[in-house]
Amino acid sequence: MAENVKVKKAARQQSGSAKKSLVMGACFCLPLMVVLWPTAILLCFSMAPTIFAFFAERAQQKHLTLTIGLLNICGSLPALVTLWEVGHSHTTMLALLQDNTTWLTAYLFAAFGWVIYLVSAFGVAQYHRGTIDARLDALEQKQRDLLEAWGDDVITADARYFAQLHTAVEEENDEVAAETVVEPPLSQAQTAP
Amino acid sequence: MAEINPESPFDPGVAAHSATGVVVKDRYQVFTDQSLPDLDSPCGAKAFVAKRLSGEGVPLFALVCHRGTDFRADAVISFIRLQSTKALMPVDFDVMPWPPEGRYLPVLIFEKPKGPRLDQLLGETFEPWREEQIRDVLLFSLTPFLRDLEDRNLTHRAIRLDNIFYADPSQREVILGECLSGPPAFCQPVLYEPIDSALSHPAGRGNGTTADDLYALGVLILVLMHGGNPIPNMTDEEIVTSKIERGSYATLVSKTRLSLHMVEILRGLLCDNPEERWTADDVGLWLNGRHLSPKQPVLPKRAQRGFKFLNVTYNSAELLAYALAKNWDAACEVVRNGQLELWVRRSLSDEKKANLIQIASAQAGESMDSGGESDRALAMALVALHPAAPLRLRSLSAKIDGVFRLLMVQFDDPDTRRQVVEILKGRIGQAWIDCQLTVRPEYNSYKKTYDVGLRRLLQDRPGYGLERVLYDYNPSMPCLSPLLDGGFVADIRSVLSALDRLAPSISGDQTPIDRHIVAFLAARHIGMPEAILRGLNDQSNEANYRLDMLRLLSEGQRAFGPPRLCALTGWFSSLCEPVLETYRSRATREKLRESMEWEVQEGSLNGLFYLIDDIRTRQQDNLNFEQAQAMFLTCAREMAWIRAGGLTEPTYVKRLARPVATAISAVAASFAFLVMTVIYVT
Repeated sequence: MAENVKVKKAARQQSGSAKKSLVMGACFCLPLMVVLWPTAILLCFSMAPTIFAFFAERAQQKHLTLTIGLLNICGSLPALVTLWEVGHSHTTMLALLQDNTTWLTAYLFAAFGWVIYLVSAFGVAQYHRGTIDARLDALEQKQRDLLEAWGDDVITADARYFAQLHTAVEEENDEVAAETVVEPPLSQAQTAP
Repeated sequence: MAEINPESPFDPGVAAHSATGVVVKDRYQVFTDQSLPDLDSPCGAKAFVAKRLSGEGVPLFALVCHRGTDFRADAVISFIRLQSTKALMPVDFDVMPWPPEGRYLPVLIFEKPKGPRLDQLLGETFEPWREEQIRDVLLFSLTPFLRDLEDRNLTHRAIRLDNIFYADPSQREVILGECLSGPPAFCQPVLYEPIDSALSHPAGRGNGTTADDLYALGVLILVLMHGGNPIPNMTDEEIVTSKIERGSYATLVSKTRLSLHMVEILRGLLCDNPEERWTADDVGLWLNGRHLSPKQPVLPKRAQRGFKFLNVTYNSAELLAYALAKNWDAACEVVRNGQLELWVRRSLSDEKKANLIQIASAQAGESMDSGGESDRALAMALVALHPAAPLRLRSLSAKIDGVFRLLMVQFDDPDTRRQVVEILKGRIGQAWIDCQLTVRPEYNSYKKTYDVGLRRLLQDRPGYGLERVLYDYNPSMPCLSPLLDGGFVADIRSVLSALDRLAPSISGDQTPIDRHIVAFLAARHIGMPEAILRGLNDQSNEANYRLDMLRLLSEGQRAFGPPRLCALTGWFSSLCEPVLETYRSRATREKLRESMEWEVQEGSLNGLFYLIDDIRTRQQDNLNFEQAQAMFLTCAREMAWIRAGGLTEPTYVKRLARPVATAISAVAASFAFLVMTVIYVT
């Protein structure tokens, strides 16, 4: 009960700070948009995937937005440079918006970002799959070092439980072992979504 | 005992002796092959020729005591300081390895008497001395000496015919022989001792008072005036019985014809009541011609009706007590059935004694056995019947100040040990003091001694018990630990030195302490922390027990030295393995082992103790251990999680992949930005 109250309180604080930064951003960007109106309009259209991702992504850290946005802005740069070279006017801005190359470049780069986001999970999984043995060896070595330094007393009842669990997993078939529910370490568990 | 050389070699074979003799304290040489049988002590001490290594001074002789515990170590230094010409005075002493017997023995160095021993010259019977001889040769010589002793609170307790020497060949003066080679009055015949002392075991007569010396002087006068033993046909038992029944004067004077002048001094000196006995000052006045009224003997109160015990009828409580003490088992029954109490109440009309016996009878009646309770009850009854007599319990009979000396001399005897325990547990000493008709200042200290002794005895744990009583009340008692067998160690420094010498020959898991060593250290070191003694009682935790052993000896070394005990520290370092095992960290243990080697080289038990029982090291070890446990648990959890597929679990992978994707995107964007910049610039 008390934890729930705390979580709610923290959420309220976070939403409050988000509103604050939104207001601050608006205060800074709105005058800039008025001054750089053609640039703003161009970016609004060319950065549409990023804007969409921003509103679509519910995670707090906005990794998807960043992944798409960084490449999306790169794709928007040629049009922006052209706008600033030819003359920072509504006519040029409208001409650029009517040019397919502008749209294509910006959206292709955004799509590339999307692809990176999708493929990275597979890559990380593959990488972890390849490092499992090394990680286990390192952890076992660490345990051996601790045992050597402190003796058998260093093994607590909890640690013994996990060791027995491993033995059980080895003895049982792979399916049974896969079904065994094991809590992740506290450090990882806390950061899990 | 401060004079005992603690650095004496433990092995008697290594004793400092030349081909012709033993060197004592680097100052005297004792010739082991030149005995002097004429100067042997009746107590068993053997006399040998001795000389100063400097070659100066009067001729000397050495008395080598029969046993280490026999000599009067508590009085010897006082006698050395006394420096009188009226007695054989000790010049020096030491307890040292005696090569002819291969053990430690006390060696007392005396100035050699110039004249012969009186009894050797006179024989068993001789021409009776005249009154002038008694006065001029004997009393003028000895009275000032006895006064000196009284002033210094010392007693001689060996005044008898065979311990008197002529001071010079002209035979116009005598001197007293030595009195230090045995317990006080140990060699005194019953003839020469007052009733209470005559009833006691020779080793339990205690230091006594000058009154006891003056009584012996009175007997000596009578022997010289009679020309030998005045009552040669009487056995010791008959002498004691007669002294109780008729009084000492009547018993000893017997048929000896005395002048009125001599009757006066003999009645004064042979008075059975020590309070009324003549003092050395009274003898001095008598010698100067003052006439004092002769003391009349106070004979025991006679009962209206006799008490029949083993077919003999006794008419006095004192005689009956003597008879009961001699027939212990039969006497127990007499106390138990209440006849004795009835007789005292009706025939002696002594309510106080009767009440005491009634209490004792009740105790005996409740127990209904012939064991400790019955013995205590009879001992209490004997005290009530004859308050002036010594404490008696079965074969033990000792004066109030001689019980612990008797324990010292006869500690090897299980019966004596048991009887002393019964005396203390039955509070017989306290009862004896309560029954005394006169109050003397020393009774308070006796009472306190017996009370404290009882408390120590009842605590049956290391550092207490009968061993503690033994060492507490015999300051000169050497440690009787079997570990120190063959050595005479009478102080803590010597105990530690002896253990240090013993250490190289020890193998296995033998510990360097036992009940005797603990009790000895506790008795000799007043500031010994009680916590150490309490800890030694708990042997369930091996590490703590060994740590307390180390703490006990390190406390001894801190207070008394010696500063370096390398072998003993090494012995302890091997014994402290269980203590090291209490440290969790292997590295800490190794580090402590290395430091222990250094402490062993330093020979510091104290350093070793504080090294292996350092609170900071222990706290740090515990803290690190908890951290190691937590780390091990984390590893185990992580391994279990990985084995269960946690690392490739989709949710986890996705969570990790998001920032990775952002990073790749950032790199790609940077690259693209760079390329565009290059294109536009060129």
